[in-house]
Amino acid sequence: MSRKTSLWLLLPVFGLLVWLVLYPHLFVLGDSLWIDGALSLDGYRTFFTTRAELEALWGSVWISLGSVFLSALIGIPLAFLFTRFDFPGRTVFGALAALPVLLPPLVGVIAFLFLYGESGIFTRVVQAVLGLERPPWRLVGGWAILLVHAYSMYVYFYLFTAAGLARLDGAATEAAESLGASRWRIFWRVTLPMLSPSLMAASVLVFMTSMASFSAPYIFGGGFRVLTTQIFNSKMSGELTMAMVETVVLASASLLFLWILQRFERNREFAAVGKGVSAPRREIRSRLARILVPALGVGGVFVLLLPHLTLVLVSFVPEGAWTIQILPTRYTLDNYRALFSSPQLWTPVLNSLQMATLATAANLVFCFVVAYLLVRGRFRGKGSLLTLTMLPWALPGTVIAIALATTFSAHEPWFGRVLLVGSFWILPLAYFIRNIPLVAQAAVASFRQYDPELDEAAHSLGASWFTTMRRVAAPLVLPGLMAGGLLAWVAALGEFVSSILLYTHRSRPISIEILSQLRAFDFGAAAALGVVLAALMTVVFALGGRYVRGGLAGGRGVAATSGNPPPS
Amino acid sequence: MILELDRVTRRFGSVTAVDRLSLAIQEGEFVTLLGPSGCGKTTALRLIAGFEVPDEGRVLFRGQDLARRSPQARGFGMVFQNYALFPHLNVFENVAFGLKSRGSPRELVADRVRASLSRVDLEGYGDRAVQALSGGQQQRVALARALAIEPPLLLLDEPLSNLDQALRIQTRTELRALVKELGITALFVTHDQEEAFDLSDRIAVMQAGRLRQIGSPQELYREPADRFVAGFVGRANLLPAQVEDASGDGSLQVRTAGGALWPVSGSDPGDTPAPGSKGTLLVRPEELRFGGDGEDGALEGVVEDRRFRGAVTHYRVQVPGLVLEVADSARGPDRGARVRLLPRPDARLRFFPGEGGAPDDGGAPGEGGAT
Repeated sequence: MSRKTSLWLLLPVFGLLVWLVLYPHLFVLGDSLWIDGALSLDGYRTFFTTRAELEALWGSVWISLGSVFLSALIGIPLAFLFTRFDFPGRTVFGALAALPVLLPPLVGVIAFLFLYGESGIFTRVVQAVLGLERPPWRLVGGWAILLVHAYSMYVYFYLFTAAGLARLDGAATEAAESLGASRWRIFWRVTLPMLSPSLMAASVLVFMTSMASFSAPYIFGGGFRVLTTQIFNSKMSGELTMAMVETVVLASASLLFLWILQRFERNREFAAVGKGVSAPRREIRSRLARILVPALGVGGVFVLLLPHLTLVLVSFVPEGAWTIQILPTRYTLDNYRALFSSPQLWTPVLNSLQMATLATAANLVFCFVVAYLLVRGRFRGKGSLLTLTMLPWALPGTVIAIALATTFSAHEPWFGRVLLVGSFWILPLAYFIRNIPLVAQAAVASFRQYDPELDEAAHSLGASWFTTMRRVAAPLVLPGLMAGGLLAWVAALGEFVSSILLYTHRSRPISIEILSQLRAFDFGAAAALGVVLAALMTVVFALGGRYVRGGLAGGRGVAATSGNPPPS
Repeated sequence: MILELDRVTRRFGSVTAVDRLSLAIQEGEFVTLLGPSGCGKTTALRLIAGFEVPDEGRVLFRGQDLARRSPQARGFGMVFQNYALFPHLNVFENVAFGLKSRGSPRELVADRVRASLSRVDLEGYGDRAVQALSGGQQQRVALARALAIEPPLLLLDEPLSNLDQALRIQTRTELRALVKELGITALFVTHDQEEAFDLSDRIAVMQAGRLRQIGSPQELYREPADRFVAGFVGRANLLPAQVEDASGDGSLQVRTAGGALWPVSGSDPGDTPAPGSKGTLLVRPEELRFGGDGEDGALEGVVEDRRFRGAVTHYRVQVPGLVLEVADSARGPDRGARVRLLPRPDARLRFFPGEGGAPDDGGAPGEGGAT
């Protein structure tokens, strides 16, 4: 690509990124320092002297560290179990274990509520078995949040470890065996060190997702404070300066930890080179293990998926049919019938579909150009373009929402402000911004695999620029781009964190409607909405799976490199 | 006898990768398993290393059955095709890995690693990251790592295939010298016949999981056991032919495609094919010569192409229905010349009975050779 073309594409792309990604956050930073028409550090002084605020900061950090630890504890053994051993049902249950990655966190959280909440099925079973007068526990506070996080975020460790194991050169293990190393030694000295990039990537992802997590603390937090809920509360009670300060603190803490974690990450790829035989799957020899290993695997997956099964169950329960019983007594299709007939429930589904599609379409076009520039462009300042593109990945959804809500709340075109708050467009915009990194990363990965010599080969064979694009570039880049687009679409469909700060009643998305049904104690309707959301995602993935798999299979894969924290 | 395979079989699903393979290797011998890709040679090596377990048959090491012995306990050094160096360890740590696994004391480890590295000309490379090394150096680290544990048997799985041509030739000379100097027994796997010839005391030719022949390079070349070995080892002309006349001492008169009557000597006297039986005739390119006009029993053809190769020149001669390869001096006929082909007086042509005229699994004439 010539320098001139680069520039013509670069200017609008760069301008848009500065305006939509960088500027709103600088605006928040400004607002946090600008009190009553004067520059002041009072906001920060209050933050760092108020006990509750410091508690929230500390809460965010330790919950995130704890989530990394617990998710690793579940995800890593599970991955080893399913990739290293062969037993009946391995493929099916191995795939099921990865399923929660498709579900929006809010849906996972309410599923958890129905199962382990104070009046959840499991809780009532325990209460009945032990003959207690009260529920044996209340699912509230830091530990509850931690549990929900571990339950939903183990998937990252599971997927990353499994992918790492698949990439691992089996010959390395065999070489160690032939040199006389014991199994134990091979695990600690060869397998684990070679997996460390995958584990590190999973840790970063879980940490960032936990820092940004909103649904779990919002629903299970009780009096427990974390920064995301603190921001929400300040904003809702009109303490705007405090909300800005908290937003800046959360953003800085996230960026700081990201920086620290990535410094640990040794940038080495331990992938197989040449004719790597991946490690053979072991048939289980000992009789005890032959029962134990599948039992652990299958049992583990069952426990992990139980909340989601509960969700499906509850979606068939009509309003008022589940009060004090262990299991609901009646099951009907009423909720689904209502969902498709009552505009109250149906409108949000249409809204979400519309807004997610709009945002994703914009993502595809925009990120294709960005990736083209990042991979093929010749200009100075590629680093800053990359940073701007990836910035929304590192910023919690709450931060982005606050930034948009602050910046686009007035009509001052000369200051780059347009009135969007209260309009339909604010949510698609938020989804678009949040998904830029995900789609861009997918597109970049595709472009990287696409050798420029292929273009030259096509040109040398007489193909025009247009023919080359159509016959060579599009087939090669599209699968990866579409994979990114699908993930983005799914993420936008279930988005909750930014939505709750930005939605208007008329354009409310599914997640907000789930929440309001939950508040009205219509569990069945909430569950049915959750099931519809999950079903929509599954259908799209089933239809588009070819693209996703193609995109993921090529090179290092979208999921493995991008790791966009889904809205939590 | 250091290693013995006794009718070893290994199946993967419906595929029999190694089929009743029997093999015996002497102490200090350099033996190569040679065969086309997918012939089961790597599986055979992995059975010996202990990464695969035979479905049937036994692997014996110094007379002891290895069935219940793990790869760790066997202590055979192995060099992998892609080297399988540990990417997170440096050169020293890679070479020391086996010794440390055995719990050798620190000073001994350091000494042995140093000795092992100097053997492969890599003194002073201990601190390097393995990724920073060239392909040839990585290959030598892999060899040093395998040798550091002083294995009684060294297993090499196509270790030279990732090197470029010139380096490959140099490395195999050094490899053979090193193995002979240390007096180690080595088992080498390759699909490259030239490599096998350069390295080995004996070569075992495998095809479709079975051993076709084992012998010195010379035996394989001069007296191939069957049409496959004839075509796979060295350059070969394989002509459809029919026995015209057989005498009691095992010598035959064979009518080739194209109508020439050529003598074949030295087939097994007890198993002489009957007159009229069909088969394939092996004539090496250097066993053919260009005859004069008056000579009888010649195949007439046209020189299609000639390629100068220094010591010899290769001629491709088109005879009716066939293309034959002839190796002769550069003073031979030009392209397009009409020639008459005859076996040289000292030629030892071989006849393999069996239907199917044209060579099928042995490759076309002139193929499978040292190009």
